[in-house]
Amino acid sequence: MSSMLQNFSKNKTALICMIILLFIIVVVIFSEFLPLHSPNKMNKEYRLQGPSSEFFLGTDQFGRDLFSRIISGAKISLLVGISSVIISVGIGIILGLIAGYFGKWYDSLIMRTMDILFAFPEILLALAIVAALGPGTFNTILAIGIVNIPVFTRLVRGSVLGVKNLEYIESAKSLGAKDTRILFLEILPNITAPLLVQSTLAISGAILTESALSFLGLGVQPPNPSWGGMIAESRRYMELAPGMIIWPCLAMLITIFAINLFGDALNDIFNPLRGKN
Amino acid sequence: MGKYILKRLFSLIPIIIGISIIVFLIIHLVPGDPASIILGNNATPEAIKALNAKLGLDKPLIVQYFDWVVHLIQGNFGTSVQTDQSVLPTLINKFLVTFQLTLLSVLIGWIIAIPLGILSAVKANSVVDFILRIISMLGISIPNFAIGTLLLLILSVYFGWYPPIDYVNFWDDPISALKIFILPAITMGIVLSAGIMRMTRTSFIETLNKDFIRTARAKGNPEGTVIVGHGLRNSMIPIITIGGMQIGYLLGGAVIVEQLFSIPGIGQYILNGIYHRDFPVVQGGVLFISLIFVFVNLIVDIIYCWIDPRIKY
Repeated sequence: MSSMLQNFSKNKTALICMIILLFIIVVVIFSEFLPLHSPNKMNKEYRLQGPSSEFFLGTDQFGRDLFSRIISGAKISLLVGISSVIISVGIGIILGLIAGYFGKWYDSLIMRTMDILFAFPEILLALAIVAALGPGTFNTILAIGIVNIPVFTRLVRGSVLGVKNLEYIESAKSLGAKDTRILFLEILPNITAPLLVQSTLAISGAILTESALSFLGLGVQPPNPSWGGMIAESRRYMELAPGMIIWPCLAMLITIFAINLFGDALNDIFNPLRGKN
Repeated sequence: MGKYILKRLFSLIPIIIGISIIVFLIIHLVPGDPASIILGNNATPEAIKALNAKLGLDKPLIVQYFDWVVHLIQGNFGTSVQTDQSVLPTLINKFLVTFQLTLLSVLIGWIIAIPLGILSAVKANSVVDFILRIISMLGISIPNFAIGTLLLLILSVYFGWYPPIDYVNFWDDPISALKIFILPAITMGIVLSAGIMRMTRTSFIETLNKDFIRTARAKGNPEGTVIVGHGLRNSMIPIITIGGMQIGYLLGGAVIVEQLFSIPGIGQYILNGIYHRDFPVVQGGVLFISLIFVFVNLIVDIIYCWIDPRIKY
């Protein structure tokens, strides 16, 4: 563990990305205490304005402050990203552990079901689920959560198969440890590294999917701001206020870029041999 | 080879059955009564009952499923609630449009990605490589609709160019059709190229370190022959894998890009189905795309086997 921390502090990309991400998270958490305009407050006399001292990034077609809407959008994106991945990781861990550890028909049943979920293009399955459940933030979380379950189930199952027959598991068994103890205390801690890397990358994927659903009007519902929704709205005003497109795109790019780079860096740290060319 | 293909075809049967069950269940996930949701608040109880009967929703679940599957096998994907048209013929027509878009996107994606990926690998760890890697990372960090909207912004505001709105068939008027398709195809191509570029680089670096490349160089072959003739051929498998995986992305991504650029393809058809709660269209469309995705993956697997006969399993 200490060597991992050392690797981490040496990896400049990981450090820089972590600082950016922590900064975004802190701003999002404390946004209510910052001197910002309310993201949904309309100011008719200030429609479609450029950046000014009053509105840092300008305003949209209702005179709402773009900067505070982008920060609110970040809050929603992170909320959807993190909670949907928690759903997929939670269910994926349980299914993967069962499939990998108990094998036999548990394995066949679970893995064939995962194959079926994998047979749908991701965004299409998410769309179909949201189409049935109806649009909204909660259903978006649920849909993205379900879509990502197979990735984690496969990952956990593969890792379980890798360690299941190692000596330390055998010795735990011969000491009389119960299956649940072996699964959660012996096996799971040994597969946290790949899980962490995959979760990080899944969060950026989930944010992309959420933004796409919101762009199509099926994710986060107006007037609540979301990056995808803001970009969709901006299209009619792009000539009058190009900032309405550029700023949410930039916010999304920075956030997802940082998460992706961070995930890549984590991968290098956990697999020092694989990281180099 | 024939045996392998047959084996793979058989293994598809449970997957296809599974897909059909999930697609069938979509309409049953709808909270409340689907027919009254489709018809809205002002529907009479008679109209709701009639629609339920028309959609077969008044029968037991298992009977509904088997009826639905029998109809599917007969080529009957149901009729649209909105237009009363049969879903399958419309799907096929719309798919031809999406297919053209997909083909052009793949072409653009590979034209951008393969040379840049090779350049990145040949100049590994140089400044050029670093910049290219940052660009490809940026490419996977931005959604296609953002790229598309930014392209529209740049072209319309700074160059005064607007993409034509009225769709024309490629075979009737190729140049006008190309004008319509080019922006959405570039949009998807950019996103595709980011993934392919990363894979080309990794795969190529691995190949370039192999002994046979050293031998090829030692024999005095020009560097171009070594890279294209020996390197590219042997790095193709991972690159094709990524290509196969991206077909799913393309078919799904088409939903968004077609909506953004008003292309009347299968994606826009499904999305309109979702907006108007036209469940037969949604079910038929999702099923159709998923089946195509499954078969494309099968074809990709067969291509591997053909490129590298060691992969039989």
